[in-house]
Amino acid sequence: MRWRRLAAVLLAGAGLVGLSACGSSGSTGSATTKTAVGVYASYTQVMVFWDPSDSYSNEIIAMPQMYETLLRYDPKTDKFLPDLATSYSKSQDGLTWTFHLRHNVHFHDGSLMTSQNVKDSIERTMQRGNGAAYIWDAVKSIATPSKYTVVFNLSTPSPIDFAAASPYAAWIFNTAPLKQHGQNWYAKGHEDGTGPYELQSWSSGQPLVLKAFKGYWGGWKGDHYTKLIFETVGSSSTRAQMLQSGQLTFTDFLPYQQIEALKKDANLRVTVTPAWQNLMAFFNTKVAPLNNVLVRKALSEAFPYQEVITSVMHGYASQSRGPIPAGLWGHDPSLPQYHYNLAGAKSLLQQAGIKPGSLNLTLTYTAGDDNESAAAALYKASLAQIGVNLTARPMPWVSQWNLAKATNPSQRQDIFMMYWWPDYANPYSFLYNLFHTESTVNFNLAYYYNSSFDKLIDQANTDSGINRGQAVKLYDQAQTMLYQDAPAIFIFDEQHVRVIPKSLKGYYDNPAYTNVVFWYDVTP
Amino acid sequence: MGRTLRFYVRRNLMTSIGLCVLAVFVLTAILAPWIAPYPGDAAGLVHPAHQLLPPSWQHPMGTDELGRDLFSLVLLGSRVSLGGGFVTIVFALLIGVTLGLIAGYAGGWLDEAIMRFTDIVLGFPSLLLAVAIAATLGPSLDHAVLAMALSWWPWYTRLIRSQVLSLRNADFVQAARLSGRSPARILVRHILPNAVTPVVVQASMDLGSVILTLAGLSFLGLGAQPPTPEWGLIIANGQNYVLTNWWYVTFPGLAILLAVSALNLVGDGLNDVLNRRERGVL
Amino acid sequence: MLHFFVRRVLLGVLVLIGLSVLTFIITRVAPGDPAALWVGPRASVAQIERATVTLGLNRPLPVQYAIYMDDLAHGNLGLSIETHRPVSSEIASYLPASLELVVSGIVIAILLGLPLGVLAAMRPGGVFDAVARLLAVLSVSVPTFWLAFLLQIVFFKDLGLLPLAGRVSNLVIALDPITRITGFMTVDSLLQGNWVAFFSALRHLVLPAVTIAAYPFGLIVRMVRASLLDVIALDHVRLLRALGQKRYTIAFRYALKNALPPTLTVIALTFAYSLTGTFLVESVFNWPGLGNYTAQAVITNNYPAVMGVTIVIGVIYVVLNLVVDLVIAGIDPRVRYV
Repeated sequence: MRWRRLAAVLLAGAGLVGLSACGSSGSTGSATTKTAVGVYASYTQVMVFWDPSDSYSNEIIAMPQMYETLLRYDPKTDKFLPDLATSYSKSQDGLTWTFHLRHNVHFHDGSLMTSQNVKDSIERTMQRGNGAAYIWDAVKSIATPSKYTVVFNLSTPSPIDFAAASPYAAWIFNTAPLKQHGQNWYAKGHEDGTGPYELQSWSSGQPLVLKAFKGYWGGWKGDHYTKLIFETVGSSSTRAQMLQSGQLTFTDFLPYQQIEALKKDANLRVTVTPAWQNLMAFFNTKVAPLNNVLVRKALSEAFPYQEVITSVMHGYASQSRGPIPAGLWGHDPSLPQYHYNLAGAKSLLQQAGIKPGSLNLTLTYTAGDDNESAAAALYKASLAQIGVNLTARPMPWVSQWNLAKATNPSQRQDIFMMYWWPDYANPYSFLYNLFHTESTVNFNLAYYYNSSFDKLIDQANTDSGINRGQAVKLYDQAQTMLYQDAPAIFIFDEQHVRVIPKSLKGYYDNPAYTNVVFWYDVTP
Repeated sequence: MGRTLRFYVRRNLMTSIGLCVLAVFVLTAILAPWIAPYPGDAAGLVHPAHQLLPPSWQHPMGTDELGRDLFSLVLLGSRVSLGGGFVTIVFALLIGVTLGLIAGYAGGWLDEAIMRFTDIVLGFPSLLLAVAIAATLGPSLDHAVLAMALSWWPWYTRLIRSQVLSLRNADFVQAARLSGRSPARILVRHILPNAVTPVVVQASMDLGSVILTLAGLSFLGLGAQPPTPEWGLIIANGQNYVLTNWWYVTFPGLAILLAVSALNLVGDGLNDVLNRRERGVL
Repeated sequence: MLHFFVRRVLLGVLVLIGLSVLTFIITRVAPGDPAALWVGPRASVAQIERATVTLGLNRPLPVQYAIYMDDLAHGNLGLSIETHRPVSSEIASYLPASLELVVSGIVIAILLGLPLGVLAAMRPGGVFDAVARLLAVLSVSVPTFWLAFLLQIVFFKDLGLLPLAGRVSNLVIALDPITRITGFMTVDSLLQGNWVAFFSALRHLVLPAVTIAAYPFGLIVRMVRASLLDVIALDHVRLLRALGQKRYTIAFRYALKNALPPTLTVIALTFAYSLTGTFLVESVFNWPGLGNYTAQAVITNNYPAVMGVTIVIGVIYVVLNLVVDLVIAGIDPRVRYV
């Protein structure tokens, strides 16, 4: 009895809502014809930090849709493209940089973007000091001589154009809402940028949905995506399947085996671009016998570079020449590199007085990284042939790093395997973080302390704000020094492999903005 | 009556099947290093040229993304998975039985404290507790085993305590006490042997669940770490290839399903033998 | 009865206090400096020092514990190390998805398990009984994450009947979005009369719900069967049979009523169990629930999030246990004296 009544209520309710559904479906239907939906599936959480000052993580894929920077950098032509700034100039000494802003640009709340907003944004980012805020370290003050002119005064020469084009810590946003709602307003999941898309809906665990911002300065003539969905799909197998069935427009990462399978799909195409990311293995240069350069050279010659590149990376990588990766300015394809040569490695070990079977080494790598795991396994097999016993230990990143920072050098690992990538287009990021002398161990995990190397790269960094050609020369010298001292094995420079639908036109993989699709620039 | 007879026969038949399957698994686990065609693959050898090959005579269960023979991995994995479960249960028994003996024999505030603590640990789901502990200690098989044991022991404490309570005043215990034996000696020599049977039976029934949970922890990345061949971990590694290379996750999963089913069937049988109750028939 | 009630509630409180102490200890002894995790892998020493102050980690431990307990009492579970957002609001955002999944799973388990258990008990030893028992054993022995993959292979890849993953299709998200009311997408879409969204949500729910249903299904079949067999042995049931009542009538009308309390207990307990079972299933189906959240938190060493989930599920578990105990005690007075 009770059941029957319940059923009746349910039915009546369904009838009512059914009617209202008919009313609304008409409008949705007409919208459908004009709506082009772009779907981006990321392997990990998309909106980690909402605050444009703090953003330093995977939200890089969504931020450029909502916010813009003064400039955009194109590594292929090595040119800066205008974005919120239409032109810029620097003084002879590299200490004063002047940016001329685009006129009539509006934030999503409708207010006009002026030089004061640029000053406020960057000053707030610098003052908070989170994430990549250090890119502005050279800035002494920011002046706003007119509504559309911003001047950066520096304390030391520094390539501020690169900072202004950085995908982290360089977004221009409206600080007005913060005065009203408090400094946490952005972090709670709001945005107020000038980008082509504005927030439609988001909550943690739910996809981020963006819609076209009607007042965008670029206008909406021609074909554009008008709605964007950013979602997290942990399983690569699921992402591949979604791509094949047309439910996805873009994904940031797929294992190589799956890429091989997807290549056969007539609706998909593959693009390959050098990524600014490389894999390295750092020797613990503070303990015997790795403090002997002959041993380090031998171990560098025993690494099966080509085998790792072909079988682990499926060819989507190239053997490194020094730490500066292919595709980034400062990379020099004529620098020397070690080649796989077991006989040479053997005789080097002999010279160093090491008997076969007497050397036991531990290599740590980050647990869960299949490429590192396979590369380590192949290295182990190769070393076994020259009588060196390698133990490859997968560790969670935090433990791996903590072990490397142990107070006593002999407690640390012998070889530390990790990737590096720059926060913005700057080779100094590789050379400074990985090999510059540090007072407490941070990322110089070869514990390589060489004052003449330090001097070279510091000078190069200052020069890069004035004369880039001179800087590159110094970086070359520094990298040659690293080749001779062999504090690390420079394994491979990675390439980004994208599988995208053929219908997605105008996509350009820009390694300066890793994994980013500038959705306004592509057409459905 | 005929139906009841048939019921017991069939039940025993299932138990027997379970026993046989279990025996095969135990034998496999013991002999794995000698039967596995490519034992080196479980120690970290890789063969990039043989990536993701479908099942064949060379590789009855196919190969994984590093060209390793999945049959060998599953065979050697039985040692890790079954062994891990076994060690977990032994640890849990050690903790549980010790605490149960103390609580039951000492009584008073000690009993109360131990039992309330037991209630607290029982108060939340074992997988959750294991995840919390394993996440804290850092991922490794040893930590997972420890975490599981730390969340599993209370059941045995309860069981053994009730046994001790019923034995505490038995004649032979009184006699031992009067002859001046120490409490520890009485507990270990006189009470334990008489109280342990139901606990051991319970523990053997739990083995299946423990193995399942352990595989789950490894699947989450909190248990065994590569290149250790563990069934849950193999499935976790294979999840990227579920839709393209079906064999990768299928066989290790089947191994878990068969082993745990066999254990549960045997456990049911044991339970029947111990708690044979009169059952009605309609 | 009052004594029993007070004792059970006190025990529940005790469990929760123990839980809070445990989670506090775990978050504080966890390897890896929380401040270092907070600022991310590329932080400077100065940034880490600032975070130590921000997070209050420079204060003495007892003070930290007092703050922690005070926060807990106010429903504040701390800040997520990964996103710096309150864990409580993140859990609130993820929990409904899990509840929707678990409730659907339990409903499926009951709908299939109850009749199967009864039918099996009608002819113990019969073919049907054997099949039911085998199914029950298999479904409690199957690794749920593996079952999830199997279902994906069959129903998505081979048959193309059901979607692979997610909670609702992306087109629905873009064009027919569901406004959140209860957080149960099937319910919300129905309430809004959004049929497109409803069917999409329903289709996405099937596979994960069936996966979650497996374990409770096996338990229910076993429990119903076993307790029915016990009840059938009782004299009054035998009497009914002697009086010429039909076997099905006896089984479903009289015997089941008596067998229900233990079955209800099992169902309530598996509810809490299934909530942790989602840890293993949600990531496979990319289901944006608590399990997926926890799995992610575990990978990123996000202790506050893991501990927040521990506390939330712990509370649900304790409360459910308490309610079940009290209900059973209400039905069957003998329990109170055990």
